Amino acid sequence: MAERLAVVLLLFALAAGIQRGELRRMSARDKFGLAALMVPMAYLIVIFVLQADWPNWPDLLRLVFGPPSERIVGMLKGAV
Amino acid sequence: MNKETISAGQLAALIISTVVGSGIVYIPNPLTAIARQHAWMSMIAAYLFGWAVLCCLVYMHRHMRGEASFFSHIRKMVGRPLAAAAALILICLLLFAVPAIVAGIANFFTSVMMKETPAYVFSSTSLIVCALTVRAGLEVMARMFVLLAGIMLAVSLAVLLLATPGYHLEYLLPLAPQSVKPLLHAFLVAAGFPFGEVLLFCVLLPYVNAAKPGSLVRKLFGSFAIAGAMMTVSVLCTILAFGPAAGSFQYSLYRLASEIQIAEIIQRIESVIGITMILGSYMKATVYLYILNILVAECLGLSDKRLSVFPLMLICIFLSLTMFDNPADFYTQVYVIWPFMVVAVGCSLILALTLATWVKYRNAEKEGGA
Repeated sequence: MAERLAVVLLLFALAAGIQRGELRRMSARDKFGLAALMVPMAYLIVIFVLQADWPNWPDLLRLVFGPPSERIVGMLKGAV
Repeated sequence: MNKETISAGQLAALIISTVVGSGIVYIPNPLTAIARQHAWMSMIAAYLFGWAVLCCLVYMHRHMRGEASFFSHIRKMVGRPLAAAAALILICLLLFAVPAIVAGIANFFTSVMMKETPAYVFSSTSLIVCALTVRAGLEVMARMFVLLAGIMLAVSLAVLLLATPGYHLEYLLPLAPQSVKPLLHAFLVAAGFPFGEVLLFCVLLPYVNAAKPGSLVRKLFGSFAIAGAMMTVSVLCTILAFGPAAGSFQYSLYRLASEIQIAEIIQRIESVIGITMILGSYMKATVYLYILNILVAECLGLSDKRLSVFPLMLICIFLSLTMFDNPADFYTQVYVIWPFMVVAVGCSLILALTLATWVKYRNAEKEGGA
């Protein structure tokens, strides 16, 4: 876990270091936009660091598109 | 800040890099596993499907001139709420595509070359390079990819040609398939990945500076034909080299390169094709990350598009590290769910937007005439 946490910190330090100037000049709307992106990112970081088996983005896609796509593939394979 | 523009030729190079990009690595294996020696027929049919999608894009581009972005064009066509929904669908597609491409790079390294190295090393470094390229801008990216796409095509073609002594024409027989179902299944896979993915280029069309519209159409279809030919030839060569076993080699082009041995001078050139594969995936991930960034920055109303590049890079890195549980999961998501998403959702969206554009301009012309 410490190793994965170090990876996260390293990546954040890199991103913040390169964007340092831009982050200082951000307007209120920009800050709101970036905060909106931080929410899913924080969730993914927790999943990555803890190796948690929590619902993820592909699980949602699988929930929505999984049944129809598998039905079509099943039909084409001759199983349905 | 001035809007970046690229030439029609540069857009053509971007199309070749994305269609051939990671497809040349991943497509021959599932297609030959599904349709065996007839996979090349499905490939041609899928190319024609992609061609139809490209026709829709070209039609929309005619009515998009002078628009600041694709988002502003569709906002005029269908209104703000529906335009936001369309952008959201494209964002959803890209939030799967970019991490999946990067996870593919990591899978390739960890399964073939560097088995003990953690996947995050490859995912992080790949996406950092992609993000830095995106931040450099579309013009820089396009200029660089013209050269890299040329190298990728030349090396891939050289490998396919050098492997000629190992080809067996009889592996293509019988030519007529016993059932059409495997062909349709392989068609669905290839129509979604990589040919249908050309729909994502709708976002880049307003950035093309084409003085002569005919030149853009010629270059777009020309590049798409080159990409289609390259993909079909690689599938065909895989079948000719491995026959019924082609479906069991995960990275068939890499495997094909390892078989090449000419007079003890040219041998073990799979590392060269390995580099080409990484190059292709890098170009594709970069173009898609650029498109994703444009859409997200516009939806959030950011003052500077570059602000969202690194947050999106971090999201994609962590998605790529958490989205696939095992190789079977990768197969299901990339070859079953993803093609369906592209064909049923993405391409239907493009068709709907093309129809909306047609109706809008038809009515405008009628009113103008009356």
